[in-house]
Amino acid sequence: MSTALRMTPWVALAVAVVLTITATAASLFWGSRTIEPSTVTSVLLRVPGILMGQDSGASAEMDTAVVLARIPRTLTAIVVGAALAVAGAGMQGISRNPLGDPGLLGLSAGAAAGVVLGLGWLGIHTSWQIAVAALAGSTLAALLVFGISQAGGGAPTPIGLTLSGAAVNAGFVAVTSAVVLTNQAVLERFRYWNVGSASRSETTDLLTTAPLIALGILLVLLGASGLNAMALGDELAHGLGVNLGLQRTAVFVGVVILAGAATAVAGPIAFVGLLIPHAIRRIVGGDYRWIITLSLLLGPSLLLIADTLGRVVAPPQEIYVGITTVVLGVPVLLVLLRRRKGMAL
Amino acid sequence: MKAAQVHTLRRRQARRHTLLLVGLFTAVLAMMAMRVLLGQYTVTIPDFFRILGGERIPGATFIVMQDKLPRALLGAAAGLAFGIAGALFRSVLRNPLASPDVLGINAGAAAGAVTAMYFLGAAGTGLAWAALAGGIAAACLIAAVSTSLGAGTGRSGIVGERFLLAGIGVAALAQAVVMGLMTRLSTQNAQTAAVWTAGSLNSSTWDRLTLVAAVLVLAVPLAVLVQRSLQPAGLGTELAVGLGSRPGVAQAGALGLGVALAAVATAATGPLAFVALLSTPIAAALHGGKISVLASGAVGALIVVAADMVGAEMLGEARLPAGVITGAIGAPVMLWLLVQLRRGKQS
Repeated sequence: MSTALRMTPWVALAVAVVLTITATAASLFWGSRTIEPSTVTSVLLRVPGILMGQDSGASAEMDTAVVLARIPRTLTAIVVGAALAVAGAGMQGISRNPLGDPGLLGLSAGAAAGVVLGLGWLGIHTSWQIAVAALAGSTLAALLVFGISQAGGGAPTPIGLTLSGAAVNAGFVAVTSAVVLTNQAVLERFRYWNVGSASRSETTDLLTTAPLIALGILLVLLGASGLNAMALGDELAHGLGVNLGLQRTAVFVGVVILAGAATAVAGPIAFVGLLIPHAIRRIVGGDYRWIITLSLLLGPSLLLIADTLGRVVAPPQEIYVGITTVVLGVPVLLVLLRRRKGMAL
Repeated sequence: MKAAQVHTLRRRQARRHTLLLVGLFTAVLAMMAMRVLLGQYTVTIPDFFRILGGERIPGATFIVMQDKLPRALLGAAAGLAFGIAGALFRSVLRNPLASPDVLGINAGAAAGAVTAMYFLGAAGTGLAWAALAGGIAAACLIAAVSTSLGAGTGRSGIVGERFLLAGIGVAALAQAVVMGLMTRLSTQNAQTAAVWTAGSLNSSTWDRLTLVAAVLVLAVPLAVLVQRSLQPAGLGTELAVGLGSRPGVAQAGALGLGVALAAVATAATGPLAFVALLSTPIAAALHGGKISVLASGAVGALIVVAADMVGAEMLGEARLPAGVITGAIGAPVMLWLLVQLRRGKQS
């Protein structure tokens, strides 16, 4: 029994690594424009040269430009997928609530509203300013959702938390629409800021937010042992001598940073944070150290697959990844509801 | 307490309810009058009646008959429908947050309309029918999922938590459909887009008004009846069955009616955020904590007409659709409601 428990996570890890590599390759090789695999490979081989400055990266060929455009997009999907999946795992852990997801609970919408308000009213424009605005928005949303759902004392029920999240979400979406509709400049750039997309970001945005996301993941990882203790209930955890307050704060701050930074890069994307931790829990059980580690690989895989699907379903048009994740995610949510066991943490 | 005392108490309550309704509907009429007569283009009262009488006043006739009057009437009608739908949902689901707009009925209706617009090129009344179909489809999906799920465990059917969770899932799905198709539609005009993402009265027409009014004429009496038959269920399902009422039928009827009202209203104005959600608790607060279908409808009408007035006339250059105003005002009120809900559970 114990060997099976020890082995399974490692096997799962190996599978997750293979899946992530496959999904990354799929994202690079497939797209709305059909390109010969050999062309893609030759362009990819030029990338180190371009990064070193030996190769200008300029090319008359359309295919080369398309492949080069797929690289930041793939990186965005990887970073954002990891951020969202870990944020979901952390949120489910601290709230002991199976429906924790930065998108469903309004954190992503809060971050988007922060960005749009900053762009429209405060005139921000650099990547750093956008990231700060997104963090401010996600912090406010998280405080609203968790603060209110805990105002009466005691742990909020899954349904209470989810409804609070839906309401906060709707409020922030309204704010975003208001700003976008009244400000022509913001409208041009961020007309669809209420939908997530992996192709919107520029490389500078990614470089700015990647350290933030790394910090967030680190904070959640630091709290992982605390999450395991919390899953036993607060009293038992106290008995084990775990300083819950500190670890809960670390995870909470980590989750807020992850949700805000991911939204600053890609816009609001729901369901990744819900689905991935649940799937992992099914496979390897409820140890948060494993859940978070595997989330780091499976979150990117899901987002890469969703983004690639969105590109190849109806070429030459693309479906935003924020939409494909919802379409993939809702059936899984409904299946989770079907099994009461799956709902319990 | 003697029978006579109970009798007088009941009569006093009924009288207070009537008074409240008279007050609320007077306020709705006053708000509509303000919407039509005042604003950036003012119309005098004698002129208004001359226009209604068929007289042609250059400029004024067009503005009143093609913009201001249909806007005010459609706003009131849609608000009434949303408010009644919210009260019906609240009566059945017993959760102040479980309103058609949170549960995806509005989003489903909007998704139906946008789908028809994109794939079939629908316009005008066809759009309304598509929205109705979308709202009903969303409701059926939620009901099918939650009842089939509930059957296995013997837990409550449509009234359980799963109904709410399934509703939130369906809302997310329908919103994704709207957003996805909106990005494909070459709507250069952001106001057109706003109708389906936020809700707006900018494209009010007499056609749409006729549709909503026709549904309201049928639905309002039914809603009052259904809500009355639901009242025994408020005592708890077991007691209600013991008293000879059949809560299942009344509940299903109330939800069905609520879905139809919310979907038709969405077809005409788009998914106006928070109107259904807010009007019920506000009306209940005015009515001593009791849910009143008509009072809730009147509050809904008041909210929509006022929001349209604010968005279109009172913000200067920035003309915001009514749905954005209801969303922005609704969010803090909603948070206050959540806190109240927690307090109520604690005490």
